[in-house]
Amino acid sequence: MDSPGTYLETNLAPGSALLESDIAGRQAKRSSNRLLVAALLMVMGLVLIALSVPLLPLQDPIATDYDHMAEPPGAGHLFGTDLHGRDQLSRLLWASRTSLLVGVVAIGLALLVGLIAGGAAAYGGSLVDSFLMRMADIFLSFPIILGAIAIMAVLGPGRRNVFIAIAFFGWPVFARLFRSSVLSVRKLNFIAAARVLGASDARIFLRHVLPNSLTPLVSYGAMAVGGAILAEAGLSFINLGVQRPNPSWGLMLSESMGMFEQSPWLVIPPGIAITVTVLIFILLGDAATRALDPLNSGPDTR
Amino acid sequence: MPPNRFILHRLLQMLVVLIGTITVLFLVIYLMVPGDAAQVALGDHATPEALDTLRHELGLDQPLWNQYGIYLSRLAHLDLGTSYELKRSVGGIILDHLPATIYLTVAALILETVFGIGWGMLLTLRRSRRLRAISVASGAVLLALPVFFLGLVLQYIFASRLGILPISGTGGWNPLNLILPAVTLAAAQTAIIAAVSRSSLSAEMEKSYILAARARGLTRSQAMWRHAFRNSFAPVATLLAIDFGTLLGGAMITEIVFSWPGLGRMTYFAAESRDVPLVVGSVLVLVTIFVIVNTGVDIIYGWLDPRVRAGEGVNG
Repeated sequence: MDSPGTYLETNLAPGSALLESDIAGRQAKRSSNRLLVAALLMVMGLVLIALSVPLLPLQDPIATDYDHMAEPPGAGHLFGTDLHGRDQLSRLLWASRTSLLVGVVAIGLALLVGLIAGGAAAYGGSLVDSFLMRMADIFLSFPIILGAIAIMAVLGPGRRNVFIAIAFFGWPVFARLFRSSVLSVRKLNFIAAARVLGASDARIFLRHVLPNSLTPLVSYGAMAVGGAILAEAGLSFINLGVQRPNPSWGLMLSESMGMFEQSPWLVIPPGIAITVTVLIFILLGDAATRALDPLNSGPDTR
Repeated sequence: MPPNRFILHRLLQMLVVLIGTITVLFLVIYLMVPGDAAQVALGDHATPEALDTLRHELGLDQPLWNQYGIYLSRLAHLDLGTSYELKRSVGGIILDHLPATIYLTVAALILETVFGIGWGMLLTLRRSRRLRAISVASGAVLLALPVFFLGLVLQYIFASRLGILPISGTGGWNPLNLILPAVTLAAAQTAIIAAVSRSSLSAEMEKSYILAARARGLTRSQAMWRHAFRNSFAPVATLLAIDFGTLLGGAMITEIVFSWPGLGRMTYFAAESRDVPLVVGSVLVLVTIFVIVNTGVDIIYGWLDPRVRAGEGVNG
């Protein structure tokens, strides 16, 4: 592909290059919209699975059966059984609820705190602003798993504390994004226009500033859900997250550590389940960035 | 901003963040512990007298503000307290475990630098759509893979199946034992470094001085090596420095999977037995290293590049 011609040619013929990039831009827009739709469908699929789990004819995910321990996949148990004779398929599906719940609740909390802190920083004057942004710096200096460990050591393990730990160290990015986004939206002409037309401050904020400032938070939020799911899996893997006998993918992997050779069906499915779920949220975040960004006119072919 | 003022500004900022970090940890210990630290230390079956004695020793019978003062003055004397479980000084325990973690982290950082930048360069030079699509997809998979799952898979393939690498432990600091944990730790960040170095390098390759170099007859790859690479390096270097801290803290799960005797694994055992001073002490040490490294990198770049001094710093 190292052809010296292409770059020169497009530059020597600016008119045609512009036209080309416009067509490429529209194509890119269409393909990024398609990507977003695909990502949303996949997320809906995940949610649908999680919601329908109680309705499916599955075996009890918690009931132990010590006559059928670590059995390979077969007729009675499609995905085999774990070390306590529990049905692996049922546990895998039930665990999807745990993961999605942690992702949505923890990031929802972080988002809420971030919106309040970021909004206060943008509107509260320079003193409030620099205080809140230094607070954000402080919380950002904790790698999330370490911060979570400190909180778990103090509060004890459990799902509720996973929500708290992730939100506790997850809010600053939302606060920073929302603050800078509000600040730049407020400078735009249509806000001045609304003010001239006599709109109240509250109306300007709710109708114009807020909706237009949320865009960067949407794409980051989607990726953050993936991050939260990974963090929950990690914490459960080291026994500080979801507690036995409740199903969680991280916990399932932790229970079957060292079983890879004898019973790979205990290790591979939960690992793949985590990876695919997180991947879907990364894809959603990426697609949202591309589709929602009005400046993104062309594919990033550089 | 003149260089000296910039450095002073960054150092002050660092101090604020460090004091804030210490305060957050203090509040975590003293406000969130159900019951109190003495109860946690002695367990549920402690006698009231023993609890009272320990509370007095720990200063828990004093108002919060005084406790904060005591905590700060202890820290100023580099006293991180005593572990509940091991009955040893927290500082000593941390010093015992820190070298293993740094060894692993530096190895992962080297891997991620070499492979991340190499990957980015390859994508810049070979602008093929298919290669880029494959690379974006595999990067996303690396980001989505949980470290522990990757670790287990690598252990299975290279240790159990092929038997060419040791499965875990340090093997008396055998370099072969370092390979699997370092690869596991570096994987996700390598994908990020690759993406950042590709976009930074590609943007540099579009500049007119590269066109001039090409006009002088340099090939794309020569122009990249001789000119673009150096100029595109700043964002990558900043990211690498931040990664040092991220890896240091993120090494915990990798250390657990590979029975690596580092600070992360020790902190995990401490968290499991709810040894609060040990957990908080080691989190504090790791976060401090992270903050100092970031500030150092900011200062070095501010020194080298006046554009950084003018703005908010490379890290924003």
